[in-house]
Amino acid sequence: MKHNNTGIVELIDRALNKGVILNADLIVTVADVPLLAANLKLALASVETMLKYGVMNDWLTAVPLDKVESNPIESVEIKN
Amino acid sequence: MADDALYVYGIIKFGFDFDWKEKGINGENVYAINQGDFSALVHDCEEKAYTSEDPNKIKELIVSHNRILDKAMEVFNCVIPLHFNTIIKKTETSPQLNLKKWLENENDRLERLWGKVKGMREYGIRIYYDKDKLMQEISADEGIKESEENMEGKSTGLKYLLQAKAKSKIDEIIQNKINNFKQKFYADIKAISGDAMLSNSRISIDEEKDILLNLSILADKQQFEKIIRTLERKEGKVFSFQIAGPFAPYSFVQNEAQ
Repeated sequence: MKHNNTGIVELIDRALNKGVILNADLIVTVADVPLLAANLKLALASVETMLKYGVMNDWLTAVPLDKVESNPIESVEIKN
Repeated sequence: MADDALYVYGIIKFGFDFDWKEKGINGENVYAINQGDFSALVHDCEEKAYTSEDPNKIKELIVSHNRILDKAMEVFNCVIPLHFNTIIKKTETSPQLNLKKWLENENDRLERLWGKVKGMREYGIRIYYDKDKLMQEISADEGIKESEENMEGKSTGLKYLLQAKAKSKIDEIIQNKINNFKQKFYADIKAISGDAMLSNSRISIDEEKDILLNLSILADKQQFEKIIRTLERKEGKVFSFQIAGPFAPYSFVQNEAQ
């Protein structure tokens, strides 16, 4: 049985998508957070062992695209 | 710029304010703000989300957030984790007062959540199956045998039709078997864990394998060991497993507290 080799990817998924969320009027809301899709995709792609797998195929659906000024994916090169 | 906001990592059941020696995101000093039975682990920050153009920096921020949660689980038996980048801002009142009011208002829900997660850890379990090997194992299935026997002595055209029909039947049998395995694995794991849920992860990993189940489970040490033993008994030619964690119980606090 394999242990923990998917740990960092699973951790990032949980930290960004799960956990308690406070009332929007009290916090700097997620919509204001400039964590663009490209950054998140790169954050995950930089996990070397994940590069050979198809990580984050549908990640873009998780990010409000109307908050993205241009399509950052096209302008970003993932270094292998 | 003055620190006029609070970054919140998570909530612990602890009835006092205290300065912690732990360093959080960007080496910030982490301390606890108490209200009633619960305290929030925080650091002072600007009213601005943490982000970077550098992907490694983002990863580092998330890992730092999680390191505080890991430490809290070790010291305080568990932690109710908050979403990464939870920053309480100043309104008509200070962020400290806003946080205290929130803790006070949410006390009952936090109490229920703490009852559920104390002493527990979250793990990710992915169960994979090998479709070819599964097919070999179930090739002795009566329905499949019958389909094959029906071909004997038939003309080429009829054989073609029967083969197409047999393939469809075999696919159906396999799908039913897979569904049965899915339900059985889920029921078995849920029965020996604190809680289990299908993971709605947006991340796909190891696409070379067929995934049977992607679960998040909540378990204490004994439950986790029992789950591992159960999975190891089932591991073989057909099924394989991947375990990730332990994590703070991110998946088991989100609905209740919203």
